[in-house]
Amino acid sequence: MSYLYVGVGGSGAKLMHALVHLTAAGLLPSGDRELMGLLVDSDEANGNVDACMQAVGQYERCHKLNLGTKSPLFKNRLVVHGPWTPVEDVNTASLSSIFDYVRMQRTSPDDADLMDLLFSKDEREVTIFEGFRGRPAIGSAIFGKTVNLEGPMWKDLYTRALNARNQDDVSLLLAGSVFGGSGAAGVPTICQVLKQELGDNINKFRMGLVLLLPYFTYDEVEDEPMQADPQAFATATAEALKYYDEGKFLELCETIYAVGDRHPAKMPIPAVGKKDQRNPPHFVELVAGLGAIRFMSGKASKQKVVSLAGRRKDNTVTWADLPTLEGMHSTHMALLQQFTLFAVAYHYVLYPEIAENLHKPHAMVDQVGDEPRAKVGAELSDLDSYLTSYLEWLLSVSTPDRVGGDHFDSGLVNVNVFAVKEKVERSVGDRIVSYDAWRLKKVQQSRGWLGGSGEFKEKQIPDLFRNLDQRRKPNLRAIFHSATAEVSEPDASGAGKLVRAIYEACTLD
Amino acid sequence: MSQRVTNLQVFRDFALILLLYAIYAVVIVAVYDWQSFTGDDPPMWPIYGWAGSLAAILIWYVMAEWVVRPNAGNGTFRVLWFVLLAAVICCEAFVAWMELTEESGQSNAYPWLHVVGGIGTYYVASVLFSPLYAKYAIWPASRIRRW
Repeated sequence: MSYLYVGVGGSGAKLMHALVHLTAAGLLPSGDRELMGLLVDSDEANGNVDACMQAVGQYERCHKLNLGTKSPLFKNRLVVHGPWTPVEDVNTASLSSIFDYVRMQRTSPDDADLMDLLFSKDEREVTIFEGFRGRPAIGSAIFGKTVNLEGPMWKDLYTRALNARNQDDVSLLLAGSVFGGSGAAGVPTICQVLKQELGDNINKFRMGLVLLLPYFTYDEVEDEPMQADPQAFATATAEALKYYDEGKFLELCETIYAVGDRHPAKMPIPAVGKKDQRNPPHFVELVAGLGAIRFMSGKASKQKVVSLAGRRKDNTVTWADLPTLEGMHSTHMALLQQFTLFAVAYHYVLYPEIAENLHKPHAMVDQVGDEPRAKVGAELSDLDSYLTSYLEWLLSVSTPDRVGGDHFDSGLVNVNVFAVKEKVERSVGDRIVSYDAWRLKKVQQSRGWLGGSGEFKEKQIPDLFRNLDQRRKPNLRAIFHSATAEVSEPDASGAGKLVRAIYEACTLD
Repeated sequence: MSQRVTNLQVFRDFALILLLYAIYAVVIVAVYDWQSFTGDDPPMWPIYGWAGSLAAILIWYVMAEWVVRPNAGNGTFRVLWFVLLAAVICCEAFVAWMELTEESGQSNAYPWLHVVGGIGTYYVASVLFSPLYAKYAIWPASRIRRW
């Protein structure tokens, strides 16, 4: 059984990235079901897709840790394909070539005239290998022509959905932005294709949509004649939502989440696509990810409900603001907080200590028993890589550089505990872009009585969380002690046993 | 639950340290003749030697458990332990010297007992019952301790 997800465009990939971290933290409703994702993007080298796939690869390695059967940590299997691109050959990656415009002019001139009417010459000829450049009309036409559930990658999704139909509801979530190129073009088109193909074959088929409303902006990309215009996002969104309404998408889908932010975050590097388009994660994706978890936790229902989620203050997001399924808020927040504390404590304090003492007698290393130390070292290193990427994601989610509005104040975590802000210079093409950016503090094995050396200060760990009950402040010494406690489950072994003990030690009582 | 496990372990270690020092006390009483401890003028220097050693091991435990960072490294723990060992050696040497020179009315003095007992008990207690993150700091704890 799988939770099925299709993410379209850069925003769809970013939501998948958020889902990877939420899955790692144990928020998926059932640990027995895998999360199967398919990323769709016309831009094969999109930086956000790349970042997501890297996180997936790191997750898969951590999933192999033998943590026992009862721990929510990295419990679900994750299968993510992609990116699926509508065309694979750069020479045929334009509207004209996909529809064979030259031949069309001869064989069906009426269709060719219609194409002339709908698309300018530039739009017909532009390569879509770097996305649809904020022209969803191009993308819609191409997706409508190329999405095929019997084709590569789609086939796996289709088969899993069909295989699951006899056991329970089959839930599929589709996500993308409504204002850019790939998402705006792909979501409605793919939604209709999936509903038609799967809805006809599966009785209890549930489909959900996550529509990401404008939440970022960027400067104009130099020397690019055709690109998405952030100034037009609001208008494009209004038109898109009108289209979803008039197209009766609420009848096609059981649930639609529309998530955005009034003050868009400025992306540091404007780019039309490829690796340069690696927009930093944003708290909107965390909220949308929690919406995805909510959808996956639900059951088929004929009841139509409009749910609204907002936050108390515009310039912050607190734990209390994060929406969850009714009755699950404290459980989900506790899991997220435990995972966050686990990441900080492991990356900055425990892993350096373990790595240094892996081949020596040490209270924590005793947990791994007779497991070969080289294997344990590699597994713990993989976990550290994953948690580093989680902390980078969390840092970005907590520090959006918003345009307009008051200065954003992180209401989830105190980023100063594990990050610093500094001036960064990056070369993009032949330009040097300079901007202020947060980065994770460097890891440095702290020594001596006070452990005050290096950027990271252990004594700041109790201040890691914002807006939490004072009694739930983390205590590093207690974590150290509990990390040596016996893990109750005999199934946990080797590095997994040690990791499980550390994870459980990070429970905020 | 984790805090309870820690407290239980600390309680167990303290109990075992006190048991070890109770055995040392029994040895002192046996060596000095137990009847002398029940009289009007009990021998005080062995009691001071015993108490000095006990105080050192308790300071070691408290410092290593609650003051020094768990990840401070064995080097830091050893520095602390050797400082306390030096204090114990000074204490026991002083006790032995005082016992040998003082006109206390005692017929016997046992300086070897303070050196072997006071310093030895401190060492044995450190090897066997040091706190969690210092438990392998003192040789040959890493070969002996399996708990």
